[in-house]
Amino acid sequence: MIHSLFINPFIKLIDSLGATALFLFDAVIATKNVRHLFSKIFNQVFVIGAQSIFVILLIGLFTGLVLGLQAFYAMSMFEAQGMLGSLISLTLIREMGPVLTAIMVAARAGSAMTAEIGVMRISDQVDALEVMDIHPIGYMVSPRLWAALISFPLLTAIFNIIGLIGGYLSACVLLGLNAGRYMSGIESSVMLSDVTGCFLKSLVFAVIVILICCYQGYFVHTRRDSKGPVAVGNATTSAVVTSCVLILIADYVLSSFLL
Amino acid sequence: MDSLLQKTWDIRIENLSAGYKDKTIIKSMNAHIPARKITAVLGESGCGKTTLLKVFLGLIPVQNGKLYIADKDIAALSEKSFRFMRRRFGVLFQDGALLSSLNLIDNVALPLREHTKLPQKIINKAVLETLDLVGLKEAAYRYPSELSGGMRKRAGLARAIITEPPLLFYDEPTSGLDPITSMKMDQLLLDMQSYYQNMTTVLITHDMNSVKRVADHILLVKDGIAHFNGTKEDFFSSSDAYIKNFLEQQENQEQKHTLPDNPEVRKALDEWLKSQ
Repeated sequence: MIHSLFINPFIKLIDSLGATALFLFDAVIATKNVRHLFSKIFNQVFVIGAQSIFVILLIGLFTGLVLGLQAFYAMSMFEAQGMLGSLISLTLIREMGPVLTAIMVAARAGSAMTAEIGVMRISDQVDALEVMDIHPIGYMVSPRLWAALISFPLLTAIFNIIGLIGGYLSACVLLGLNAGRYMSGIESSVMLSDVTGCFLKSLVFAVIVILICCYQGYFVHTRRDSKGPVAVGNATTSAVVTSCVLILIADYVLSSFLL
Repeated sequence: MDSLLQKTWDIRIENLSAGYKDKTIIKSMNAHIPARKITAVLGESGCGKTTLLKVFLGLIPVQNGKLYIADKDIAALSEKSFRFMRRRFGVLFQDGALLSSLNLIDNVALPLREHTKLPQKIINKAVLETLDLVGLKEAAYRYPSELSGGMRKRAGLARAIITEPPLLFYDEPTSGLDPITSMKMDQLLLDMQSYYQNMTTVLITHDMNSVKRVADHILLVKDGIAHFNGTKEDFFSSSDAYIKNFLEQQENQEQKHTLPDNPEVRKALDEWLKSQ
């Protein structure tokens, strides 16, 4: 009873963590043997980064608009509308920017990654790579990892800027807050440590998303719950859900250290 | 590395056992696959043909015994030497196993791009020539999802031969193809063998017509062991009871099948049709 409830799941968890860590290690080590690495990274920056810009702009803008709207009325109760710039900028830069960007990229590019690698696995394409002496992890995972480390901080920066513009539109243009007070609130409260913390989070989230999404696709054939195309579907769902949960857990842990 | 650079490769199997963690599929097999010949590996479904192919390709480790490719015991090779050896294999997987995100020209160019420093212009020229050889030059910029099964197999073959491998493996090259396309595929296989005369070909197949047309040598696998290993002529004239039975079964596959008679299902289907 104790075994099935606690010990077995715990052993399974440790086993999965170990396998995932080895997978990350392989992806990093395999980088040195990847031919045409820069062009492969560039392609992936386009897929993970450039193709995600529109959705990041949209989500960032509406997040800023809603934050401005809600915070304006909440602050009005304490006659503290002047703090709106501080509140929106710190909320966006410290928490919402990196977290929402990572979740959106996991949902958009991460799911596509799992599905693509999963299909490659079930249709012998991974075996074909191995037989051609092309390291499958080096070919499929390493360029995505480095591309994500480039793209995530850039997307997060875009999200933060567009979010601040959304907050400005909401609070200053629509609700009449003085633009100078909004801007000075941002200027006085955002420290360099907030920005570096924001980028640190986005780098950690990048590793989490790529690791989980690629791992789920790469080992889709070992799933016990399903096989074939159904397994690819299940792996995709599992990759997005696991990534989102781990992003939130990592965010809490990182915030605890950064504050 | 001397024997790895030799021009003709053969395969010797000595007391070979291999399989998966909990199950041994190949059981103390002894066989020889001669150089510069087309060897067909035959056997009933589940007898171990695909496992044997995976052992040749290094996708499944040897459990016991020896596997010599080009006179090298592959279990004793260093990782670097084995990788060098595998680089010289050409493999046509069952459905071609083309990378779905690349068009044909990029798929076929992949081994050259990944392993050589040839300029792009020369690689493209070589790829187009190889695609022309398999009759796919016109489809060079199409993606695998835009091709028929036969075209995908031919494209897989183009990728397998682009490096002029001394050892070429075909996994069910005619499965899922109509008789005319199967014959074309067989002719292509024979053309490859006459074009690359030093190439040793291993053909995993169920298609006896294809075996009759192209094979020089036969390896018949029964329950993980080599039941027959010899020339095609000896195989087809063999008086061995199992071989006779095997050949008979293959011929009977083309005979009329007796369909199951299930009155309950028929009644339910009738009711369903009436309710429409």
